Amino acid sequence: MSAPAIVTRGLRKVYGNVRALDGLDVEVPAGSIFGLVGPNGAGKTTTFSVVMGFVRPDSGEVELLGRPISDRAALRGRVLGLPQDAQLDGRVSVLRSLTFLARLTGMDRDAAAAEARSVLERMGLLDRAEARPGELSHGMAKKVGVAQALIGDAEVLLLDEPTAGLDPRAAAELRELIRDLRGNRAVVISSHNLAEIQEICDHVAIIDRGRSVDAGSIDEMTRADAEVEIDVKEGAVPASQLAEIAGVSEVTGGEGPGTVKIRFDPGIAPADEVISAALSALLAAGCKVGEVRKGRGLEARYLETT
Amino acid sequence: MKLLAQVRRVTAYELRALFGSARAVTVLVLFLLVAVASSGTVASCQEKLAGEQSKLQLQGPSGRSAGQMPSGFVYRFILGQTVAKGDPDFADFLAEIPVFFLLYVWGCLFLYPYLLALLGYDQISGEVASGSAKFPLLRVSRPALALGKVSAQILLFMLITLLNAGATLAMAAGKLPEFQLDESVLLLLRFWPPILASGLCYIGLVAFWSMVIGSPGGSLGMSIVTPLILWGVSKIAFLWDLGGGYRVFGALGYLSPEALGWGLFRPFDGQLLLSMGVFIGFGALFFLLGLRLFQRKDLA
Repeated sequence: MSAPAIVTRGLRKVYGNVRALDGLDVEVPAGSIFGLVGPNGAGKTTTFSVVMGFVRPDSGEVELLGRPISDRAALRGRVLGLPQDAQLDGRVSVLRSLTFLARLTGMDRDAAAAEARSVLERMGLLDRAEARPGELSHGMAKKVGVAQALIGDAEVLLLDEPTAGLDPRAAAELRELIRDLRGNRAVVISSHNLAEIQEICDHVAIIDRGRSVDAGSIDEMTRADAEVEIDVKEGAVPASQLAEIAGVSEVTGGEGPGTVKIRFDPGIAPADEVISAALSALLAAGCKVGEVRKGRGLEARYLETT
Repeated sequence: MKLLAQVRRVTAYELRALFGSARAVTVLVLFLLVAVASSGTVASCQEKLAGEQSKLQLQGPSGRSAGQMPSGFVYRFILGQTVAKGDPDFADFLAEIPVFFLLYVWGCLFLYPYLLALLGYDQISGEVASGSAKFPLLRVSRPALALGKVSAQILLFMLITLLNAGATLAMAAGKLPEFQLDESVLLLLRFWPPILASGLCYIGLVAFWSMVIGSPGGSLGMSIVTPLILWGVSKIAFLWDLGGGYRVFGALGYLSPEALGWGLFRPFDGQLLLSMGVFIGFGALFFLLGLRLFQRKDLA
């Protein structure tokens, strides 16, 4: 099994009187799409800055791809990202800037120019290649920032709020692009948009006041593998029948229309089997079902822990 | 990729970016204008003096002796007491050099630090402030980025000094009655290495402030003020020495490379090499110290 993409142990960073990181422990599995969420000032951007090598931690350890972060020479170019609020060099065109960045990864002039064009095309920005960064809209500048992170073949991508400020279409396109990266490399995303994190990430860590307060796979965090919510619009809920389904440990909710919560042991019955059995019982009892959800949603978990 | 290859790529990119930037072009044009205007003024003065002298020559032997001797004596005396530090051979050597070119060299040594400040104050601080430094720094080390940028400054500076010398030559050719191209070119080439050595010192200083201070405005301010301080320290120490004060105050002058600035005018000898070495050494020291601090700096 390959080493985790990122491991932080007891990471601390203090700015004056502010503890940006206070013993942060996070492990990002190799090849995962990992969400880092937390309130403003929780330490997300500082974590990114430490991992990208822009900020030196006061104490603690960071391992990237199985190597200590101090081994920068071996890691350079293998860990790329989109730092928050960073802009490309405003003196030259976007294409020239990206070509330069590609050249720094060791490509020759032609290969670098081709790579720069390729990532711009991937982001739908080839027609803006000759524009200066200052001439781009906020959303375009953000996409160009993501484009530069795609140059080369980085094994870890760190995207600090990549969809912030993007219009819904651009945000959806970017989410799709990030999903396409799944499996090829580890991608770490910070975002305040919990629905987005839940949609595209397979692992998540919630951090608050510089510490990790909760972490795990999305299924674990949302209890998607152990809890089902069913919105019943009409009819009497056969609670006793639901409780008899194999693996079910608890059924909560009213007898009449409303939300029924079913908890079960995924070791005995997988979620899909429980859902099928529960729907059969409800439909047989004459209930009308509006919606079925696995788990509680990341937002509920987030609100519980922060 | 090896460090040198990274440095080369950063330098090439930086040169292109600088050539394309309005500021670099403005600074270059500004300096050429200053060079042309000042050398033109000096040449005009010389032209008038030569005219006055020929009038005096026409008045007879008494006029000639009255017109030349005192001014030559005073000129040698001033050179001997200021630049030549009381060394009569050195004063003689300087007196042989046309005043036009001597002033050109002095002007370069005095003004280039400020040009270099305008040219490179934000080479690092500007990119740190905008965050654009983070993109290359994900791919190359901080020393590679800083060395690449400072190398671009050095190459651009070399180009500017050559253009400036060319403009000065053209002005001298047009204005000076006894202008001789081969001698003038040799004279400018002879002073080119000392001018470069001085420039390297201030390139290092500007890079230092740009790496240490996070805001471009702050690094510009310090890059302009520090050469004035270095110049002032050496001059105060020199005056203190002249006045026979405590030697320790005179020694303070050696905190500034300008304490050996006079050595840059020397004929090709050990003292010239020492002075050039001190300027280059100060520049390297500034750069390495700045790099050390830059490597430890958080780019939040």
